[in-house]
Amino acid sequence: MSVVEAPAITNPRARRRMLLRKRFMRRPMAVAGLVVVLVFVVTAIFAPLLAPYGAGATDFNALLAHPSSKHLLGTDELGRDELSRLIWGARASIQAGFFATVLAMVVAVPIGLVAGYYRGWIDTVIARITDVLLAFPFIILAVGLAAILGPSLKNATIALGVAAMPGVIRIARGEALALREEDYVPAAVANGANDFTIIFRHILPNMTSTLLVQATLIIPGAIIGEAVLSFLGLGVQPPTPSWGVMLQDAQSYLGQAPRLAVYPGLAIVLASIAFNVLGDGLRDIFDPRTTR
Amino acid sequence: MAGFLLRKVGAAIVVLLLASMLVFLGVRAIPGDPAIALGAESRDPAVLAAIRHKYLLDRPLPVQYAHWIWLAVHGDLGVDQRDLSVSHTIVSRLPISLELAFLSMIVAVAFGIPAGVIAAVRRGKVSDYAVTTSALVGLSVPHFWLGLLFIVWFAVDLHWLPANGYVSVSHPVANLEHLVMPCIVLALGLAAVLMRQMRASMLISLSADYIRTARAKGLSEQTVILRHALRNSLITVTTVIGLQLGALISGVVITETIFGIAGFGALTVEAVNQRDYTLIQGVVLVAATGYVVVNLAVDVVYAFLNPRIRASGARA
Repeated sequence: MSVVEAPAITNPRARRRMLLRKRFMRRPMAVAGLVVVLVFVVTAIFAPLLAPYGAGATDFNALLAHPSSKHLLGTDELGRDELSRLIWGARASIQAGFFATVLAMVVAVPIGLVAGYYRGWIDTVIARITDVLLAFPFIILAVGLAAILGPSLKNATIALGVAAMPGVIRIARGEALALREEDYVPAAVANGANDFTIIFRHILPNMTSTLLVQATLIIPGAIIGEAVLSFLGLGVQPPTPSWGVMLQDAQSYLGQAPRLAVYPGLAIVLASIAFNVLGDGLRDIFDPRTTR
Repeated sequence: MAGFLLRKVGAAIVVLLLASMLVFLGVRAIPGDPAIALGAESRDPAVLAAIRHKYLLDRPLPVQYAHWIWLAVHGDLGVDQRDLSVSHTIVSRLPISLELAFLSMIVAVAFGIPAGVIAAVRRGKVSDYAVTTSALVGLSVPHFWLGLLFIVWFAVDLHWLPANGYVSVSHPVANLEHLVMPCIVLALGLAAVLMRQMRASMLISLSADYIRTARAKGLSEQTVILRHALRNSLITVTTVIGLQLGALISGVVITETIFGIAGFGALTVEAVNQRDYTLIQGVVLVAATGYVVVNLAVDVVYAFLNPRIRASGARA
């Protein structure tokens, strides 16, 4: 019986991918983070199938009921099943986290690229605009947007995305400043490439790993942000469930049913730690220098 | 140095002017006729015209803006829906939030900086893991949830501390009792950031050449760490404290709402919930101004601490 040899991988990209995967699998924390993140995403997508009850289904025979076989985590003041609301609430969190990050990336990355690539006056103008955005603490920005557009999940997401933009602009700018000095840029110029091609075909692909790490770190911030805004009444509007809304409801029953204040918070913490750990892991595998 | 200061102040003023325009235009972008809101929902054309004339709503936007900013610079932010002076409301609420923010900052620095130093010095040991893990938890646990848990534990179950409210400084004991939980809640996230930053910059400092030199000339480990490494690391941490100010303001808003403290942060939420636009406009403008001014102060302090930046005048 002959030993089957693994085919030698010659394609450099495939080899890099394999190396990254191997490095990633060697980090149990990061793998655990990824698993938890996937569980949350699947829960959010398949909420209608997974939740034992509807998001607004009330059971007036079981108000503020203790956990039982019928209601695994008990019920809230309107007899709504806590577990089901947690599952439905994952939707708001994952939506806000995902779309706020996409919004921040789509708007901020090109701005940062242009600033870093062209430098000069355009860089100064963009830096000033970033400063103005930074002059509004996130919550003040969200408050302002909620006042102008009205409170809703969509507007809270926009506020969270806008709040994340200055940071992304700075990172993309810094990367572009460094990457434009790489040898492949003059090579592309010699090949007759225009600025657009250089920025989006040569510089952007080389910063994807940095941006990916940044994205996994913006998502947990946005998840907490959504919960905060919904808690303050500036995000998801009740009776639609969101972990922030559930915490706000629980605030009135801290004496009778403190557990109602525990579950949604645990969900937020778990989701946020999972994304943070995943982001840290990704940063480590892309940049072996930061490994401890 | 004078040039550096001038440039910094100039940039701050430009940022403030642009920010104030954004606030002004933002409030004007809100759907609905402000004259109707100001006229107590009266639809009488004569009344509306009089109101428009009185509040300059019939004039072009630049004129309105100039008028608004002129009054704002002189401390007049107009009157809110209940006909109370917005400036007066803000001035009466602000000290409460400042006390809360200041005490939290002290708590955060008192815990974050020593913990970060210990983690860096004992890198890879148990105390390092303890500090880095608690920093991760501190960053991942939302303040407002922790606040709710604190109320459940320390106020509802144990009856150690009052659940909410605020007592003025003239009753110092009651004042501090009411602020213990809010301060810890607010300080936690900040302390976590300080810990991480302190650990990272201490690690860089400790591997620098001057540390090797200091050790080589026989200084005690304590002197090396405290006098040499810590000093240089504090420079970076100063900037981080400045950058955390935005998070602090956001934290104040949330903490005050949970603990029922009638400060500036709670006022912000009230203003939006009551759709009181003059109040929103004033609150947002004051928050942005405070933020820019403190960041300017941090930049200047940073320049004083780090002569290299002062000399090159970079980061303008």
